[in-house]
Amino acid sequence: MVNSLLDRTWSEIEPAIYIILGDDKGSSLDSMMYTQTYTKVYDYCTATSSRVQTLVINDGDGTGSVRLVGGELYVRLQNYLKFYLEHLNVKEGETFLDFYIRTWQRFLIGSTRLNDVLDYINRYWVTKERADGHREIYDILSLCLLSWRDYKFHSNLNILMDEIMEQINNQRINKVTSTSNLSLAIKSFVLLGFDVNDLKKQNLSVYINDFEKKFLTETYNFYTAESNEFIKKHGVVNYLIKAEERIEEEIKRLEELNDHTRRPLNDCLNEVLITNHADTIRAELTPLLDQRRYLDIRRMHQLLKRVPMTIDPLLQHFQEYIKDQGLKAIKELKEQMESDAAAAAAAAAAAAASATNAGEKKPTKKTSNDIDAKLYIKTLLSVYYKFQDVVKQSFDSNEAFVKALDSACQSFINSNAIATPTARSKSRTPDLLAKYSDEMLKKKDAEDMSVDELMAIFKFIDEKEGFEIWYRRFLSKRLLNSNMSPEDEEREEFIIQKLKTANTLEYTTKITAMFNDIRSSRDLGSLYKDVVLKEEDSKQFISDLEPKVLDSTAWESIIRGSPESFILPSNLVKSQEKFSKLYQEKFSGRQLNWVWNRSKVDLKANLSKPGKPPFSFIVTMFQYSILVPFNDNDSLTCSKLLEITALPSDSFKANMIPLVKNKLLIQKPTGEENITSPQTTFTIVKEYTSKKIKVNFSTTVKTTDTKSEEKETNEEIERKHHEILKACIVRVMKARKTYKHEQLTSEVFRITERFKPSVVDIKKAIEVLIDEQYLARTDGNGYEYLS
Amino acid sequence: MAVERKIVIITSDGERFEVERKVAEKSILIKNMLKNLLPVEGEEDDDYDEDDDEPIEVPTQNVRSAVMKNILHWCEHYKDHTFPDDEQDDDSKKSAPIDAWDKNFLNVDQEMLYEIILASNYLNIKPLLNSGCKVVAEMIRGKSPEEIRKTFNIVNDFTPEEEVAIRRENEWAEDR
Repeated sequence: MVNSLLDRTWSEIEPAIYIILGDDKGSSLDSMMYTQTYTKVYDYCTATSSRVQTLVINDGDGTGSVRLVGGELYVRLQNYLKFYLEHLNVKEGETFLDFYIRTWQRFLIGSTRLNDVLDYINRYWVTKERADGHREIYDILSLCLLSWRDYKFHSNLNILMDEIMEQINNQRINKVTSTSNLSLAIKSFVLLGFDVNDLKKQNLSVYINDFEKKFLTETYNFYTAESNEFIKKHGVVNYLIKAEERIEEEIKRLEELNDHTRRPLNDCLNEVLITNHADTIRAELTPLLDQRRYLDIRRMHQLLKRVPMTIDPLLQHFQEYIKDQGLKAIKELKEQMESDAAAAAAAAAAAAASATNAGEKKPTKKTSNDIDAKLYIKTLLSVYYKFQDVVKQSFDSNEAFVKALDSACQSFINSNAIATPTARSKSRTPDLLAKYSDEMLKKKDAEDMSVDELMAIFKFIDEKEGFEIWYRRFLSKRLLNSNMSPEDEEREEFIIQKLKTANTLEYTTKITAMFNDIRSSRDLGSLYKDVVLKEEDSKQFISDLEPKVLDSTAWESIIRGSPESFILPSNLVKSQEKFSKLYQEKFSGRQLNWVWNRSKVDLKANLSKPGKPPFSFIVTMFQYSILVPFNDNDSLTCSKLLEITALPSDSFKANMIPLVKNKLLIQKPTGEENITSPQTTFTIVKEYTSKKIKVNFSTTVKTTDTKSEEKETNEEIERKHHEILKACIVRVMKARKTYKHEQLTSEVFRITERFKPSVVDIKKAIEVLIDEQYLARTDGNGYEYLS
Repeated sequence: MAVERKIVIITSDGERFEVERKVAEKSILIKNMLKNLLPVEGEEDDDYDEDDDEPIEVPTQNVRSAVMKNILHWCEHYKDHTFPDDEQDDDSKKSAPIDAWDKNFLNVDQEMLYEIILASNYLNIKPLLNSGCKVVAEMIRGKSPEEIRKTFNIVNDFTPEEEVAIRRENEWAEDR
């Protein structure tokens, strides 16, 4: 009975189902057929249900379950779908892909309609079954799609995928545009994914497993072959363009793929087009830089940027290249300077040889120590600026590349053939930079030198402390030897301001102090003059005193107190005492030391021919003390002069030489070696002859200072380092109390700014601190802080 | 579609009801059918060559005109009302009291009530089906088996033993 109703119902609805899914003739569904089919199913389900309605299945555990009718119809449909799909055949001349898309599109429409027509089964029987946990039962639409997957899709997957990939590769090779069939086929993969537990949820399992995997493998293989051949044939530069194009094309392809593929496709392309060729691509950087092909480098960077890990080696390449270029430029400069110096020396020697009165002036032999600071700094800058431009043009001023540039510059600026001729020598860049700034500041208008350039190099100097000391040395000379105009002072202060900003306030404390000393000395000078001129016996004082009162901490080692014994000429004593008194009144508690070896005297000498104005001599204080006794005597012996001046013999000699050489005093017997012989006599000339009215005897005095200036400065730098390190160590140990040697060393390395200490320096500082009982050794290579 | 095509519902006894589309579409069966049979703009099948002003005939083989008249009355009343999607039939909806208008609408003789319920199930009009079922439930609520049998004209065909067994099984449902 039931079966016969089932048979009858099925035989009545089957033709309609055939039409709904799509028959041979393309018949269409009308409203009568639609409602009739629906009604037949309704009648079947309700009629049968009412007959077996109260069939309560008591399954023992108390959860009774009513079975609804519809299952048999469902099974019939399931079988029919299999039969229907298996009898869909490829038409003549139709590719499988075309067939697949034609039937798929029709089947999809049919399935949606069938789902509505057979809604009554969905509404009750399917819902109930699934609610009871029968996950193998699906709504009609899902059942249709599942049948498609089983009978049309999986069984033909290979040929389908082959045809899809053939089309895609055809697009890649022949640049034909995509067909809608292709994108429809790919979409079908997505629709065929089911989540068994929730049919409304999309599940990409089919798409990922059956399409994406193969697509990615084929893509990988395709581009492996293509890229290898392309690079071989057309070179890296052209490949950069090609790869960029390919990536763009493939990203466009994503429009017809599921978005899930975006990442794996990206990864795949990055690997096959970039990572796999990264070494070859990067190797091109050096030739491209050599040829200044910055746009090509830009392209390289744009491509590699897609895979961040390929950038690090590129950065290293770039950094090495800059460093090499910097070192090369300096090496060439050095060679140039040496050959220039050799040529100059040869020319000078020739000139000297041809000059009849030889010995008048010896050619000063140029050594490699006399480096043209301006040329050196300019050379460093040219490399820096060149690659700064490359960073801008090729790397969009990317931070990492700026950093690479800075590291490279720091390296070659601090050590190169000129700065560090041997591996162990201390870098000369700080003093050359200080010299550069000195040259710049001495010129009235140094158009080809600028503070910006100075600061650009300053930024890279490891030895900031050394620069500061060298800078002060040069500054001291500018301050002491020349009269600064207000514009000069402005320029000086501008640099101080810049250094302060670039470093710290503390960094420029001494420089500023030196500056202020000179200013307040000027005030002291006019104060003294005012006071002295008001005195009754003002004639007894030197009114034109130009005192320079210098703070010993800022000027230490630049200006040292006179070590020589010396007796101040009596006519100056009153002035000295007056100034000292004035100073003490103004700044009580300060100690004033007189630095005679730095003092200069401007004197008037009545040694001219009759009717001519008197000469004006500039002499050192020591020379003055030698000359003063000749006011009363025409001739004096060496021993007498030594007695009057109390000068040590070597200072006496050094100061005497210019006086004798310039024929102000006549020495008997002649010869430098006889100057300090006690019996040698010196006679003042009656009439002095010189073309100039102003004669400076002080500049040719050889002081011990000039000889060892470099040595002295380096010693000062050493001392400064030592102090800083000690302070650093104490600071660390105060906080740590006990610390291992290695830890202490590395921490000191880390916190030391302005210079790079060596391990030996740190060790030395530690030793000193132990001696001074700030630290004690502990067991196991460590230290303890003693408070 | 400038002018909307008329829908003509044809009942089992051949009566024709001309209605607005939105009235007819209160029935999900009709709504789905129209969706499937009327070509959507851009869809590929252009089998429909009938004139646009021809009404669409919808045969409803299982509903007679007297019932359909009532159903359409209900549909007309709710034509501008959108019912919430009752995907999840939560308990609050089940226990909500019957809408007053529906209660009045369903105040018909038992025979008609059952036919409305069956038709609303057939035509897939869920809110009406729910209201109908609630009315029937109201008729059962608080009544003894004997009273229920009387209300629905049911002959007791259980043996006393069976009755005891059923009572025991359904103890949990008893109001206490």
